[in-house]
Amino acid sequence: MMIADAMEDEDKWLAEGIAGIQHNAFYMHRALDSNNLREALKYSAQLLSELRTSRLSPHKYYELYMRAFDELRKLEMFFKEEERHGCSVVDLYELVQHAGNILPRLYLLCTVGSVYIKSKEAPAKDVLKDLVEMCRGVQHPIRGLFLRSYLSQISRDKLPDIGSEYEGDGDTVMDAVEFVLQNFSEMNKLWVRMELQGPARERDKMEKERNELRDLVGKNLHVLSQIEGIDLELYKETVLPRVLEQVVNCKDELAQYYLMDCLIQVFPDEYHLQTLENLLGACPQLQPTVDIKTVLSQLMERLSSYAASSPEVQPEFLQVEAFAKLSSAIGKVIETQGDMPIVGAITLYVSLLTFTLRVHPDRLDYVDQVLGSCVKKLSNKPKLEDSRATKQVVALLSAPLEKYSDIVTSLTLSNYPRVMDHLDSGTNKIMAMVIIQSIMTNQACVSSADKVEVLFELIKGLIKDLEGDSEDELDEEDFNEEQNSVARVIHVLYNDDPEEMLKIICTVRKHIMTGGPKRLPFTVPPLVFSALKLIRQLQNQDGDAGGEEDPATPKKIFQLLNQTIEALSYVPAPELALRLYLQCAEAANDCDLEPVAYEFFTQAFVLYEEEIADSKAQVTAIHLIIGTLQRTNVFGVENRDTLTHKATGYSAKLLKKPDQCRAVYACSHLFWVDDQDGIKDGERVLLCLKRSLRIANAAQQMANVARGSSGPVTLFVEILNKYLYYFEKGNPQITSAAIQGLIELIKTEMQSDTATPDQISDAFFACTLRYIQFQKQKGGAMGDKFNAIKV
Amino acid sequence: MSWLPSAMAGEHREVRMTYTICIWPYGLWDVVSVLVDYEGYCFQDPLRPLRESVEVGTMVLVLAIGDLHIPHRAPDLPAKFKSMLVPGKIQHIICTGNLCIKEVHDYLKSLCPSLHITRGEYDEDSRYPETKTITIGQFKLGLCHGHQVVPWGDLDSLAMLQRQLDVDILVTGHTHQFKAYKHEAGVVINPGSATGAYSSITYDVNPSFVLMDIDGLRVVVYVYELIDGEVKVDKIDFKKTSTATI
Amino acid sequence: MECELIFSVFVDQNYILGAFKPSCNISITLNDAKTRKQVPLKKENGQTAMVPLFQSQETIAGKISVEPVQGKKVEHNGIKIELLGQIEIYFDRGNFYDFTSLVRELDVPGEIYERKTFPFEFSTVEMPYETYNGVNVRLRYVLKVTINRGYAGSITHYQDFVIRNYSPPPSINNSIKMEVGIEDCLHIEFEYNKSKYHLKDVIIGKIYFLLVRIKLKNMDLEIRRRESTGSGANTHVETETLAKFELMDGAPVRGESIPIRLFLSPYELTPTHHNINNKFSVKYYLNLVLVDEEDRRYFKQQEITIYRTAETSS
Repeated sequence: MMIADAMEDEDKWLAEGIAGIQHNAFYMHRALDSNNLREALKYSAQLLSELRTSRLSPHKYYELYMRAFDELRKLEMFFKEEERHGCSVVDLYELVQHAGNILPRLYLLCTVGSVYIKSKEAPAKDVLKDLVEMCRGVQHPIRGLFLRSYLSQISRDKLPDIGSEYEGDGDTVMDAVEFVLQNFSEMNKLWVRMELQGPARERDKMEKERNELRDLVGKNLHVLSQIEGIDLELYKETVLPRVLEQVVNCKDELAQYYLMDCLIQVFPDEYHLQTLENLLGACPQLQPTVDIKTVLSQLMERLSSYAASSPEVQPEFLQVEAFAKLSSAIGKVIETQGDMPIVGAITLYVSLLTFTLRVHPDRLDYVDQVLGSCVKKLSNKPKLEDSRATKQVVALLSAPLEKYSDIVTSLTLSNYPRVMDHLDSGTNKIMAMVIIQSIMTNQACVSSADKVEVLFELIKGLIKDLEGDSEDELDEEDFNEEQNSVARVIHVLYNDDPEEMLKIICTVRKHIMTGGPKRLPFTVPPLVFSALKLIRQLQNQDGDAGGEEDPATPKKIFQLLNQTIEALSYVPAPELALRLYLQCAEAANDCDLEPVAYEFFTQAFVLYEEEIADSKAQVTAIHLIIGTLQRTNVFGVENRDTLTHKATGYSAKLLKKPDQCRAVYACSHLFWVDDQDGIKDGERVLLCLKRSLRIANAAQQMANVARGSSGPVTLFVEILNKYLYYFEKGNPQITSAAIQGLIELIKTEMQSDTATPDQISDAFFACTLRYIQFQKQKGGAMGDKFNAIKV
Repeated sequence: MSWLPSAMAGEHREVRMTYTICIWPYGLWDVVSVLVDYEGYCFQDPLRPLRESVEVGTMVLVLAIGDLHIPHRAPDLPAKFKSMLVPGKIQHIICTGNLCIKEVHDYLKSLCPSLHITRGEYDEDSRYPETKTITIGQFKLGLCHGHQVVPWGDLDSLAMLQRQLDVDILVTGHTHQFKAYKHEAGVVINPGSATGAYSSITYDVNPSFVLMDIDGLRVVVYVYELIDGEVKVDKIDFKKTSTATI
Repeated sequence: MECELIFSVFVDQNYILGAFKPSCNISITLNDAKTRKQVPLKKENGQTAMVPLFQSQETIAGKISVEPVQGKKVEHNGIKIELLGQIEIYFDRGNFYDFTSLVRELDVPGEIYERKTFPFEFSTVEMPYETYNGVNVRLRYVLKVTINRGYAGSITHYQDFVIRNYSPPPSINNSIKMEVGIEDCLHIEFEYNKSKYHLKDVIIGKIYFLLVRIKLKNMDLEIRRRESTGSGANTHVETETLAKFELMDGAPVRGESIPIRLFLSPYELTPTHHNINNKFSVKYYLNLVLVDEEDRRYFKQQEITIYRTAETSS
C-alpha cells in the first residue's frame, strides 16, 4: 500500500512539475515572441526551477527534464537571434548568471554557452572549461547528473575535435578530451554518491534508481569514443588512464562493472588490443564484488571477433602478446578476488579458452596452458559440487572438442584429463559422453594405440566403476546409453596398418576388461567384431604377412578373442558369448584354422550345455549352431562328425517336440551342402528327415492325448518341403514315392475328424502343392522328375 | 497367381541408375527427371509426381531395413542415409531385426510409427516375434530375420518359408547382402545391412536398405546402397499379374 | 561596459513642490544642463527623480530664473542661493546636520515684476561625502534658492543633486581566505579573490570542503549592508540582505570545491562609508551560509569594502 501511495504521490508531483513548466513556458514563449529578453529570462528561470525538486525518482525526473529540455531548445534559438538583435552573447553570458538559484542559472549558462561557442567570440575550450567548472555547484546527485548530461548534450557537437570547426586557434582535441573527461569524472562521482547518500533501508530501490541513471554517465565515454582526434596515442596516454583512474578510485561495484563494460564496448577493439596491459591492470584493482569475469569475457569476446574480422590483425595479437597478458590478468584477478566462487574462476578460463581457440587455433600449447591454470585452481580442492561450476568445467572441456573436429587434437592436451579428474563422477560421465559424441559427430578416427590410451583415460568414468560411484544412483537407461556409446566409439578406433590396429585392439581390450560384469556385454561385442574385421583384413593379405613371427596374425587375435569372450561367460552372458564364439568359429574356418575353429565350437557347445537353460534360447542357439556348422568346411571327417553328432543330439533333446522336429530337419543340411565341394551324404539326410518325421508323429499323438484333437499338420508340411528340397537337389535317397506318401499322410491328417481346422497349415500345404504343380509345368528334367508325384 | 516380369521388357530386368544424388520416389526430392540405365537407355522417371495414370492414395512407401547391428558392429547408420530418411515420407517400416538396441528402435519409430520388427539373434528386445506377416494394399508381406532358416540365405529354403507364411513378398536379412529376386510364387527381398555391418557370411558389405513402392499390383523396389561414400540407387520393377487368392 | 538588469523608472521632473500655489515660479538651470549626466534619486515621497550628478571639486554654476505669476509682482528683501550638504537621521527627525553650507547673494531687496534671471556659481566645491539614501539616514546635496519676503514668509526652491566620488583602484587588495568549521562536523576553506570590490565588480572565489559530516542541503552567498547611525549609546544598526545568491545545491562530499562567481552589478550597492561626519557608517559583508537538511544554518561573515570607480562609459 505504501509503495502504491508513494507512486501515486510521485505521479502527482510529476504532474505538478509538468504543469509548472507548461505555465512558465507559456509566458516564456510570449516573451520570446515579443522579443522581450528580460521576461524570457525571468520565465525560463522559473520554468527551470521546477527541476529543483527532490521528490521524483530518476525515472520521473527524466520525464520532467525532457520537458524542460524541449523548452531550452527554443530558448537557445532565441539566444542565437538575440545576438543579431544587439545583445551580445558575451553580455548574455553574464546576464544569465545573475539568477539567484543555481540550478536554473547553470542550465541557462549552458544554454548560452552553447550559443557562445557557436558564435566563436571566445575559444570553445574556455567556454567549455568554464561550464564544466561552474557545474560543480550542483552537488545533488540526480540534479547534478541531469545538469551535466545537459551540458554533455549541448556541447557534443561543439567540441574542438580534429576537423571540427571549433578546432584551431589554440583549441585542440586535447581540450575536448579534457572537457569530456572532467564532466565524466564529475558525473561518475555524483552517480557513485547516490549509493552513499541513500538510507540503508532503501538500498535496493536506490540501486535500481542508480542503474537507471548509468547511461547518463556512460554517455560521456560514448562521446569520447566519437572524438575523431583521439588516436591510439592519445587514448593510451590520456583517455584510458584517466578513465581507469576514475573507475578504480570510485570504489563502487555497480559503477566499476558498468564503466568497464562500457569502456570495452565503446572504444575500438584495436585500441583495446594495444592497451591490454593498462586495461587489464585495472581489473585486479576493482572491488572484489565486481563481476570482472563478465567484463573480461566481453573483452575477450570482442577481441576474438576482431581477430576473426581480418587475417591482417592476427600479427597484432602476437605482437602485443595478447594471450599472455590476458592469461596473467585472469590469474591476478582470481588471486586478488579471494572470495570469487570457483565458478567465477572457471568461467574466466572458459572465456580465455574461447578466446584462444578463436584467435590462436594453432596454438595448442596455449590451450593446454589455460587448462593447466584451471587445474591449478582446482587442485587441492575436493571434487566440484557447485553445479554451476561443474557446468563451466564442462564448457571448458567441450570448447576444444567443438573447435578441433579432429578429436585427436584434444587428446594431445596433457591437462585435459587432469581437468576432468576434478569433476564429480556424474559430470565426468557426462563429459565423457560429450567427448564420445564429438568423436561420433565429427566422424573422427582415433588411429594410434597411444591416442586410444589417452581417450580411454578421458572416458574412464564410463569404462569402469570409479571410487565414489554409488550403485543406487545408477539409472539403468542412462547406464545403457553410456555403455552403448562406448561400444560405438570402439568402431572408430581404427588404423589400416594391422600392427597398429592390433595394438589398438589390445589397448581397448585392456581397458574394457576392467569394466566388470555390467559393462562387458556392451563392450565385448564391438571389440570382437573390430578384431574379426582385422582378421579378415589379414586373411585378405595372406601371403604378405611376415610369417609366424609377425605378431598380428589371425591366430594370435583368435587367442585374444577366446579369452575376451570367455570373460563374458562369467558375467554371465552365455547367449551372447555363444554367438560370438560361433562368429569366431566361422572366421577361423575362413582362415583355414581347423583347431581354432574347433576350439570355438567346443566353447560354444560347453556354454550350450551348461549355461543355456531357457528353451526358447536353446532353440535360437541350436539354429545358430546348425547354421554356422553348416557353413564350415575346414573340418576333417572326425571333427566334423563329432560336431554334427553333438548338434543333432542337442536338436533331438530340445524341450518341445515341434522345436525338436524343426531342429532335426535343419540338421539334415549338415550333411548336404549344396555346392561343388560340399558334403553330400544323402543317407544321413534321409535319417534326419525320418527322425524329424517321427518326432512330428509323436507331437501329433501327444496333441491327441493332451487335447483330444490332433495338432497342426504344419510340421508335416514343413518336412514335405524339406523332402521336396532334397528331391529337387538330386538326393537319391529322397524318392517321389516317399513324397507321395507324405502328401497322402498330410491329406489324411487334414481330413481326420479330430483335426483342428488350421487355415495357416492349409494354405502352406496348398502352396506346397502349387509349387509341385509349378515344377511339373516347368518341363525339362525337373518337370519329368516331378511328374512322378501325383497331387 | 503368378509373377510376370515387368512390362518394360520381356523378362525381369534390373535397371541401374548411375546418378549419385540421392533420389526418392514420388518426388521426395524434386531433383531427378531423367535417369540413365546401364545400357544408356534413357527413360522418364516413372516416379515423378506427374504419374497421371496412378491414383494418389494407392501408393504406399515401405522401408525395408535390417541388420544394423548397432552398436556391436557399427557406430550408427551412415550419415547420408540418416539425412535421406526423414519422418513423414514412409508409410511402413519393416525391419528384419538385429537393430540391436532400443535407441535404434526409437529412431525407426520416429521415422514412421507403423514399425514392424522381427527378432534377430542379437536383438536386445526379446519380444520381437520370429516371423510376422503384414498386408499392404494388395500385397501380403512376410518378415523374418533369417537366422532360423538353414542354410542361411539359401533361396530354396527361403522359398519354403515364403510358402509357409503364404506371402507375396518375403523380406529377410541375416546375410547382409542385398537381394531382390522373383521366386516362383513371389518376391524375396533382403535389404542387406543398413550399416554395412561385418558379416561372417558376406565379405565387403556395403550399407544398404530397400524402399518398396507398392502401387496397385505393382511394386517397385529401390535399393539404396552406399558405395565409397556415395549413395547409389537401383530400381527393380515387379508386377503381380493376378490378385487371385488361394 | 555594463549591462542593464536594473529596472529603471523614468519619471519627469516634478515641478510642483508645495501644495499651495506660489506667487512666482523659480527655476534653476545649470550651465551644462544639456551635457550633465542625470541619475535617479529617490525622494522622500518615494518617487524617483532624475537629478544632475556631480563629484567633489566640481564647479556648480547656472542661473536662477524668477518669474512672477501673471499680473503679480514679487516684493522681497533679497534673493540668495545656498549649496547645502545635509545628513538627516530619520529617528532624529527634523535634525539636519549641514556639513556643507555655501551661500551666494543674488539680489538686493526690491521688487520683481517680470521674469528675471540671476547667474550663480560655486566653484570647486568640496563635497567629500556621497549622496546616500539609507534605512535610517540620508545624506543629500541640494541647491536652495530663497526669496526673502519678511512678513509674508520666504519663497524657497530646492534642487537636489547627487554626488558620487570615484576612487582609484586600491593599491592593496588582498584576497579573503579563511578556514572555518565546527569540530569533527564541518570544515571548509573559502576564498574570495579580493577584499575590495567596486560596484560593478565580480566576486570570484571558491569553497573547499575539507570535512563534511553533516548533510548539507545548499549553500548561499549573501551580501549584507550594515548601516549604523548615531554614536555611543544612541547607535542604531540596521542590517539588510541585499543579495542572496545560491552557490551550491545538494550535499557535497569531502574534497569538493565549489566555485563562486557573483556579479555585483545587479544589486543596489553603495560604496562603503566610514564614519561620515561622525553621524553614520555603511559597511558591506559577504555572508556565506550553509544550510543542512534540518534547516540549521552555518554561516561566516566577512567584511568587504565597496568602492566606486569612474565609470568607463555612459
